[in-house]
Amino acid sequence: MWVADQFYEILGTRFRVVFEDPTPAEYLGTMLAPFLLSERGARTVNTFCLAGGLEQDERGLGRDLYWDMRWLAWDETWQPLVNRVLQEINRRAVGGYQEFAAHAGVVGMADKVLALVAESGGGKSTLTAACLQAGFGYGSDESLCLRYHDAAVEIYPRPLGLSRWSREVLSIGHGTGFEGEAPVSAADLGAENLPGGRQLTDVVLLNVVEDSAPVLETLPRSRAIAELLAHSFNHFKNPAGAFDLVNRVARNVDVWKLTFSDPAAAAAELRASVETR
Amino acid sequence: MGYSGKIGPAAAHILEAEIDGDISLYDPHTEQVTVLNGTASDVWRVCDGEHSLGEIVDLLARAYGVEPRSIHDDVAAAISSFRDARLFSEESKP
Repeated sequence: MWVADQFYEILGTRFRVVFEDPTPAEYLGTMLAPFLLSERGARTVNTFCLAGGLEQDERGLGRDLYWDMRWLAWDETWQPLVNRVLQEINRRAVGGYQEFAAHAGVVGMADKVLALVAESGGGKSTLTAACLQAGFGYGSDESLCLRYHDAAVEIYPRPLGLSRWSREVLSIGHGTGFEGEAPVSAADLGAENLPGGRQLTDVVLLNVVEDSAPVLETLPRSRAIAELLAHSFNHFKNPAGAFDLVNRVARNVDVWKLTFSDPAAAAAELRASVETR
Repeated sequence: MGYSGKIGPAAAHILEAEIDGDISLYDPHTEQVTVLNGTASDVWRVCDGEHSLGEIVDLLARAYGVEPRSIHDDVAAAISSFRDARLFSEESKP
């Protein structure tokens, strides 16, 4: 019996998530709350079903995850399957996004909107989480989304994917029960989502160096063009439009290289920079 | 095309933008971005298919107020990097 049946719209793609067990349903519902649709639809594509509950757990049957009626995964517990749902949703949402997107965390404070640019595994999510703890608003830990027509930032406040190391180094108690990466919401970190539609003001290139105090160095604005294109995952859909867009954005941003080892100290450095400008 | 001929112009499909004097070049075919610093941007601007390497060196030497031989190797290296990145039109003038 399905106890939860929710519809979401993420970066223009619609999803439906159905659960038998209220515990993971509630957890995922909290994580995807920014994207919840008030109206229901008869979606038959992008539907994730998590079958199984406590009764199956006690009988050692575990849980099954289905996507559009196709079996996707099995596990003894619900946490890995919730993670899988979030990964699949992220992949499909970003893959279907028709505007410009680049690998970057997005945080903001006052009139500043910062893109934290790095490769996957380059410390984006951890620094983003540290920034939220330091008082920044949340845009995304995954993707800088920019509209082609007005270069405005579309926020993508998906749950932050934080490794055990990240949670420990930032003393984040949420995510217990998850073996590896755990989804953590901005609200869990005491932060609110940024309003959408604002212009990017800063591009911060992350440079993690062991035992380094945080140092923020200014770079030429032209670097923003190369970095945003190099870290984009969909500029090939519209190469000329993407170049024009990042050129427009680069004219109005400050570009920095942030060298650091301690994410909390780096977030404090960013906050101090924002507050003194 | 050797350096004795005219250098450039840019290939037609190369997209160009300038911010604070630095030129960024984008090849949509290869998705390659080339960001030039101020000096390399100056070299790029005169690679218009109308000048040889020697003429480009003379032009820039006059602009900078230096001896041509002091910048010759750097200019040649910059032009070589433009060629390596396939930024020039293949239909260069003799």
